[in-house]
Formats: sequence, C-alpha cells, structure tokens
Amino acid sequence: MNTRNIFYAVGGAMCLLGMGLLIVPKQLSMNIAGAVLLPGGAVVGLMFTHAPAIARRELASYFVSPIAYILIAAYLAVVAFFFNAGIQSSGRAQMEQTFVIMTWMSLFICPIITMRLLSEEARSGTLETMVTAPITDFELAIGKYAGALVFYLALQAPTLVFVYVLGRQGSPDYYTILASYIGIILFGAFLLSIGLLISAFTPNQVISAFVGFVAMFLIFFLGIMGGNITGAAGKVVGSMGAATHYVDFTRGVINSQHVLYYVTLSVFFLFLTVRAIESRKWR
Amino acid sequence: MITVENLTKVYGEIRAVDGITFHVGEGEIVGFLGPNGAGKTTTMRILTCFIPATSGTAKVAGYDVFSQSLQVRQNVGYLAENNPLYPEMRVTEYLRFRAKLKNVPGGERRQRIGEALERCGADAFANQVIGTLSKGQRQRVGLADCLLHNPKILILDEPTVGLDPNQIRHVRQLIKELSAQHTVLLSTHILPEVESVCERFIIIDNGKIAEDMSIDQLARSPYIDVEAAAPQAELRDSLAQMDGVLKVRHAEAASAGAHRFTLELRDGADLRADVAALLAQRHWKLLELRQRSLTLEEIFVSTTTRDHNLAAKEA
Repeated sequence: MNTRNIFYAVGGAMCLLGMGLLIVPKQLSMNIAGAVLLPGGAVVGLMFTHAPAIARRELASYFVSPIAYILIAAYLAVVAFFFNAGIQSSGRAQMEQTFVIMTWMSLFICPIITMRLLSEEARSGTLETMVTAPITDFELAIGKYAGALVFYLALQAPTLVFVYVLGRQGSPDYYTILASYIGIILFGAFLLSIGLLISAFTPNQVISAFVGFVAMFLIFFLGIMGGNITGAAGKVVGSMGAATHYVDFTRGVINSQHVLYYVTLSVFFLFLTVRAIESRKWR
Repeated sequence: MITVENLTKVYGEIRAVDGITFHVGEGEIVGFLGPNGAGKTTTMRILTCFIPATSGTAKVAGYDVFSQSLQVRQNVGYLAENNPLYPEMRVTEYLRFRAKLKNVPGGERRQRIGEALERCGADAFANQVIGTLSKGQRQRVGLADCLLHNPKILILDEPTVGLDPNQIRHVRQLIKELSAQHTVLLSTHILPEVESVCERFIIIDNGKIAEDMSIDQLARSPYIDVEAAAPQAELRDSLAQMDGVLKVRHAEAASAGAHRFTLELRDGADLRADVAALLAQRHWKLLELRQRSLTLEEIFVSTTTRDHNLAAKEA
C-alpha cells in the first residue's frame, strides 16, 4: 500500500470539496430570494430540505417495489459466487476477483437503478407537480441523484460481510480493500450520473435503461478502444475510458488523478442533467 | 392577482396561445372555458411556471412568471391536468413530501397537513396508499396538496374531470368554500359548473379570448333572437349596423331556408320594433322575434363554433 497516494487523494478531495462549496452559495442565493417571502427562520436550510426530501422519496419508491430486493439478492448471489471462486483459485485472503465482478455487475445494475429517475416522473406527469413546486431544477437533479446513490450504497453494503469473513479466516490487506471500495463507489457514482442524464431525455423507462447501458458500456471500454489507436489520439481516448481509471483502486492505490476523473465527470453529467431538466423551457 | 398581457405560446407552427390578455382580481373565482385544445392547459402551465411563454408577460401575485418563478410558485397552488400523484405513497407521506418542497416550516407541517386533509374531506383515507384510492378521493388529495402552503392563488386544471355526479357536487362545494380565502382560476368543460361556482368566465378558442364576462352580466344582458328568411350575410350585416347592437351571433335556424341570429344589445336597449321595421323595409320574411337573456351554453357554442367556421373559410 502506497501511503503517499493517500495524501494525494486527500489533497485532491479537499480541492474538489472547495470547488463544490463555491457552487453551494450560488444555488442557495436563488433559494434565499424565494425564502424572503416565508415567515422568518425558514431561510436557512432550504436546500437541505428539498433535495433530501426528493432523495428520500426516491429511495422509498425503490423499496416499495420488488425490484430493489431482486436486484440486491441477484447481485449478492453473483458476487458471493466469485468471492468464493476467487479465494479458492488463489488460495489467498483477497477480493480482487470479487471487485472485478462488482464492477461488471455495476455496469448492468446502474442503468436499472437510474432508468426510472426522471423518466417515470415525465411519463406519469408528476414532473409537472414537482417543478411547479418552489424548488430549483438543481435541487431536483441532486435529490434524484442522491436517492440513486444511496440505493447503490445499500446494494454494496451487504458485501462488507465478505470482508468480515476474510478478516475472521485470514489476514487480508485492508488498505487494498478500502481503496477498492472507494473505487467501486466512485465508479458507481459516475455511472449513475450518466444514467440520470439519460433518464432526463426520455419518458420511456426501457429506452432509458437501454441507452444508459450502452452509454455506460462504451465509456467503460473507451480505454481499450484507445489501445487500438496509435499516437497521441490513442492516449487521449484511452485516458477517457472509465476502466483505465479503475484498475489502480483494485491494487490498493488511490491516485488523485483517478478520483478527479470520476468526480469531475459525475459533476459534469449532473450539470448536464440540470440543463436537460431546464430544457423544457426552450423546447 | 393574475395579470396576463399579450401572452403567446408557439409550438413549432401551432399557436397554442395567441396573444391573450386578461386580468383576475383578488378574491375572484374565474372559470376558464374552451373546447379541447383551445389553449387552456397551456395558459395554466405558463402561469404556474411549468413552461415559459414565447412572448408576452404574465404576473401572478405581483411576480413575473419568468424572472421571479420561485416566488410565483410559492404563491400558487396548482392542480395539474389529470392530477398526477405517486401511486406507491400513502396520502400523509405524499403530503409531508409536498409540504417540504413547498417550504412549510418543519414545526407547522403536521398541523397544515391535518388542516388541508380536513378541509378537503380527505382525513378518512389519510393512511391509505394513493394507488388504492378512487378518482374522487385522489382529487381531494390533489386539492389538499394545493392548500398546503396556504397560497394566495389556486389554479385548477379541470378539477372535476372523470368524477361521478356526487363527487362533482362535493368538489364544486369545496372549491366554492376555498374561494372565500383564495383567488381561483379553474378550467372546465362543464358549463353548469361555471354558472354554479364562478363569478366570471373567460372563453378561449383557438388560442384567443372569445369572451370575458361576469355571470351577473350574463343574466342581465338583453338579447334578441331574430329568425328570418333572408340571405345570411346581408341579414347579418344589416343587423350589425343597427344602433345599439353590440354583437351578432349566428344560431341554429328552426326552419329550412331561414337564418337565425342572436343580437347582443347595449344595456337598456330594446330594438324589437326597429328590427321588425328593418326587415319589413327590406321585404324579408320575419319568422320569429323575441327578447330574452342568453345561456352560457349558447355563448360557448356560438363563440367557439363561429371561430371554427371563420378559420375554415380562411383556409
């Protein structure tokens, strides 16, 4: 485990956090303008009411349908199988193969998580009641995103059992496992932001899921495509692939470059989602 | 409370709303009428900031719908067309969620939700899942949602559509009660609803305002029905040129070969003798002549079909 890289990651994360914090006052100021009308005391924390309310509603809606339980059960079954196979074949207390399959499964599961986010609201007409409430489009996007992200975390959480089992039976490298988890979460957050954007464009869940899947798949393999192109172009295309940036995490290395890749692109897709929601105004 | 000036909305080549201007004062309850596709929903969507206008301005509660959208939305309770709800949520869950979005302070939420449920008669099924509710019950949930943030203005898009006669009566009664504390703009196809609930009505057709009149005025205004055997255009023109005639509407004639017109007269005018004299002078056969007040249905049919005829002629 390279401890120096941890510091890089912390530094990089703090820079990003700083940049993120600059956006918050701007968004808040829009809210404060709306809040002046309200009885006193309600100004603070409007942004912290709307987005969490939307996220909570979204999360609850996953768990009232059987789809959430089916997804989690199927995911755990597949991951458990590869966890077992990985240890059996290598004879070591490690989770490399487990994380590989977790990545692959994320590619299939994230479009299912995101397919309904904005598509369903548009199809059922609730988007109209949603955006005619005094909330900003930014709050809607971030709330939906947070709901999906928390569901993704809930999907990953049971896999911690495997870490516990490893710890009981052997002496795994916890740093590598931690880095891998950070990697899989960043990777998932990135995929979800793509899926959210696509769900903003269609009221059809099937189209939303399928296009989302194709988009995630392509961006995942951009790195391999880059390998087939010679020269600088290949390097550029290669470095844009999501898989390229994932590998280091599974080796226990948290490189700020990779963190930056996932975080900035997630923020970028979120930004595009806000614009896509706004697009109803000029279409 | 609501001021609309020259509002226009163009979808591609279709002018859904074409330069409409109207005003709704504080405490008024106004019915918004028109055939399907006339532009009612589009206008309401502009007023509630769901879509922007192509041109023109609209102010709601003193705020501009485009530049002060959050303030407008804070002051409007909007029941959207078909009342979209989340079927998987319970009624109280839904209202709690909506109260948060509408900036109802945490300490007041429980009380406000309770009040809204009670006013709309929805407390009996407050813990039911929305998907299991009847259409009338859902409508009550939608109306309760409109009231949560105690808005100055209620904009209701077809609040009684799809309800059975009993439910319609309940919802109408409810809207009447609400109008004591809120300014209400509601759209509907059901004409008796306007007469029983509203103080004023605006008829919109082909994106334009065809009529803007108070219910009182409707009962007061004198009208004359004339049926005569005469060329249609000439008869209409000569009637329109008479002193004291404000409008001439074409109506369904009772006998073949004849034409029937309804004349809208200036207050206090009685032109029956003059009309008879005019027809005699032109040697047209007078078949019927009587004075009465118009029904809303007649106004609706004549204003909206007349425009269709004109459009057909132009095309």
